[in-house]
Amino acid sequence: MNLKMDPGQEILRLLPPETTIEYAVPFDIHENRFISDGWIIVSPERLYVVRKSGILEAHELSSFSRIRVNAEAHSGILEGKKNGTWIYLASFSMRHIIRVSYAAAGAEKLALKQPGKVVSHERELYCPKCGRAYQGAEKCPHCSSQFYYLRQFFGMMKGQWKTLVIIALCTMSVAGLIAWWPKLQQELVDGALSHPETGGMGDLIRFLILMTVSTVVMIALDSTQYYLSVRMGADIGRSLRERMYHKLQLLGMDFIHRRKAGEIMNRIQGDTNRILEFMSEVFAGMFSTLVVMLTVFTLMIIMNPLLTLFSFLSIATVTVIMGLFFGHIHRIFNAQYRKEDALESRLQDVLSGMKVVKSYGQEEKEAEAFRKEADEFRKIQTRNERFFAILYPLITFLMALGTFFAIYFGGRDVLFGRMSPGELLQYTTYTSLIFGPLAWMTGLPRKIMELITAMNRISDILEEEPTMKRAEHPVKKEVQGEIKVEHVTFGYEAYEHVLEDVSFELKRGEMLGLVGESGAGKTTLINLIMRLYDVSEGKITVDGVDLRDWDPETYHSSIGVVLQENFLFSGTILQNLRFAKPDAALPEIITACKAANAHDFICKLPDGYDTYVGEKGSTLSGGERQRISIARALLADPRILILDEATASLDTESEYQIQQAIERLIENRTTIAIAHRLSTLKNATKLIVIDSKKIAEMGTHAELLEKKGIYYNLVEAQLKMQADRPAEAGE
Amino acid sequence: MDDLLTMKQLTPDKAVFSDNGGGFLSLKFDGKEYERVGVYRMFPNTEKDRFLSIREATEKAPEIGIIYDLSEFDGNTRTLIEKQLLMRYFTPKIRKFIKIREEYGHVYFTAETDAGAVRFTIRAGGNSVAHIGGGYYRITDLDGNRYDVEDIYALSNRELRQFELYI
Repeated sequence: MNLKMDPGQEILRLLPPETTIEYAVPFDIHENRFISDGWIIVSPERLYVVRKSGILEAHELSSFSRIRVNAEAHSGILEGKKNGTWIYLASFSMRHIIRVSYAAAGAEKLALKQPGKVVSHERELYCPKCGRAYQGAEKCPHCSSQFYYLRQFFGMMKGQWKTLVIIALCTMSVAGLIAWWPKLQQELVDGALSHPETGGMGDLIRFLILMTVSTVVMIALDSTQYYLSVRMGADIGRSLRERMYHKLQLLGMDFIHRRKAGEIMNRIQGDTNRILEFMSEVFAGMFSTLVVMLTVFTLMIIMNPLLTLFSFLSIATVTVIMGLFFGHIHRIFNAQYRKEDALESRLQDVLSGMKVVKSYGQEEKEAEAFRKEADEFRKIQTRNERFFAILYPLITFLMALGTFFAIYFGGRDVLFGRMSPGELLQYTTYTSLIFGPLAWMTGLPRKIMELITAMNRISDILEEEPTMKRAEHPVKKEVQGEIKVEHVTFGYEAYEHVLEDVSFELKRGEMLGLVGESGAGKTTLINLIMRLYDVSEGKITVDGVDLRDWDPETYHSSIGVVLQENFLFSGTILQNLRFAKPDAALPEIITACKAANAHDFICKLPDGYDTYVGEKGSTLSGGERQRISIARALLADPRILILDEATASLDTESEYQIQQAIERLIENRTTIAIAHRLSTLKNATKLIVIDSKKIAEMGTHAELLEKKGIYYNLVEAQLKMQADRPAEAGE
Repeated sequence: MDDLLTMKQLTPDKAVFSDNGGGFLSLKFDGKEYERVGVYRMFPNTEKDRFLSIREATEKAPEIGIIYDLSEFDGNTRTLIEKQLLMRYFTPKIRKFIKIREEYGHVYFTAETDAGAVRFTIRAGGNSVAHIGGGYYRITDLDGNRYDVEDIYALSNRELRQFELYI
């Protein structure tokens, strides 16, 4: 992202001469109105807020102790602190908030005389040439080329050229046979049937045999090209689904969170199915139709050019009408797909949260909300189909007019001896051959639009660039587990930090306990150490190597994870355990489960280790799921263990079992734990208290208790709660 | 614990608001002076001038008190507070759609708002238009800006036909 944009001469002229620009970024709100000429300019000594009308603010950077962007509800404010007082500098829309945040960070560095220049690695969101959005992709679909998505579609068929050639040959052969029939009919009518004295039964039988044979051949060729088209469509569909699924694994967590699950599922399933439908119903038919039309049109022109031109008046009318409606058809089908997405998402939401729905007795309300959503979808679908129910017959009628022209003017020619009856029959047959496919072609814009829409939605995923780049030469050695976090600053949004200047070191085998209020940044820190996100400033090293330089698979395979929400995939307990180590032998699995205190309850299940646990392991209790997760982590035998303790207390027996299992799990492993249990906290080599985005306290359990600070208060509160519990139970 | 549950009401006789000298809001209340405070609408869609939470301008932003109804305060104070609200809640109202164009999976709007002309973009397949109630809709663009259409039925037929494809 460019932090030194060009404000133009009109703005630069307002600044003192010889001003060196370090940062120049736009702002677009002034006195609650949009403006287009606002600039925030930072020189090594001063900060200016400028419009074409003049300099609105000018400050010596050295007078500021802080310069920052404050993210308001739907806009941003640039503000600075001078002598203990916050000064308002400029307002801007969310469009500029990221850019201004970076410039503000740069200005603050200059104000505080800190070394280093601020650079942004964020991508531009809009094409600098045409202004169109290309969120997530590196190229603008408009500036890169026209017919972009159609070219992508044809590009997918590149590896299938042999199949395409066979389809083309079959199609052309079928077209040839179709064009030959009317000629055969003409010869029969003008020959044997008009002059029985020269022809007779023999000619009739010959004609019938020829018709039968050509019909059989045509059916065989048509079936072949249909089968090949469908197969090609299925291959393309499968390849797309695999690519999309694979891409989703590579993309950062921010991509997944930005979209609804139903939307992603619809794209992997629904949109790829639309490609398959296009291939089977439209693709081959489209070429076959085009070839037939061209062949027949050529023959018609040869037979009677004037008559052909008259007939084609109706084609011209149809083409104009279709052109007028093209954009509208595209829009209404997009609206339909969006509603379908929304419906699917709602259904998924409710099904996933069925427990919550039922426990609050909201079944009726949810059913009503789903009925409304389904009804809206029905309305759009009905409206769209009604539109086509009117358009299609109109188009068909207009094209039928062409046939009426042919019969009238052709009939006149026969009566005046300018055309034989056989030739008229041949001509009118050709007319119906043209107009039949034309009627089919009226549906083609709709089908092509559906294809383009589907390709568009698929490309959205396939062209999304992963926010976290792979190193050019990723490190692939064995992880030992020494972690160093150095001056790390991070925010899910560039303008809102969750962690600021966090530093600590963890030697191999040590355990770090993270403590702090809910929302303090503990899970964020864990996400950074797991490299689910990249740090904004500073770095994290493992065994002396920057996390960004590690091979992601090597690093991730050395991490074991036990989280609060213990997700088990649909499958058996054994399959879930093998997720950590696919080639684990059964004795190994059993040992891990014994260590996790899971073996006993698994054995007592009717199907033992073959028990199917379903989506999210819904047949197991929370404590049981957690113990399976611990067994899974043990099987992985990780160097680094990430442990996010569940906040919910279980019954005493389960608590004790899990506590034991965790103690076995963390032995000799570098562990980072978001700890809630006193026992875990006491065992930690080091504790960190995160408060207000920073490390507020660091030390051992005993050291922090002595300080009587935040940690002390947290422990006191927990002890008090535990002391109160027996009293509550007694009541 | 009792402190957490208490709603401290800020009334004109107890709370004195002023400009902090830098364009932000200061407050004197309950014997304390706050150099800068933030104003938060508890019900931004339905109660724009009632139930305003006044909070310290620190990281955790603890609540100082609540203005039950802004109209209780004098004109100058109301102006100061409204200025802060406008800074925080910048949601232009769309008066007219000049152009709506869909391309390559995004929808490009050109519109006249009560804050001037604007161009913004939304994702075509996403959840960018939310129904607030009745004919009131809210558009959130790709960048996170918000624009309100207070009454879609007050739009012209052409505008409504184009816009409703995205509702």
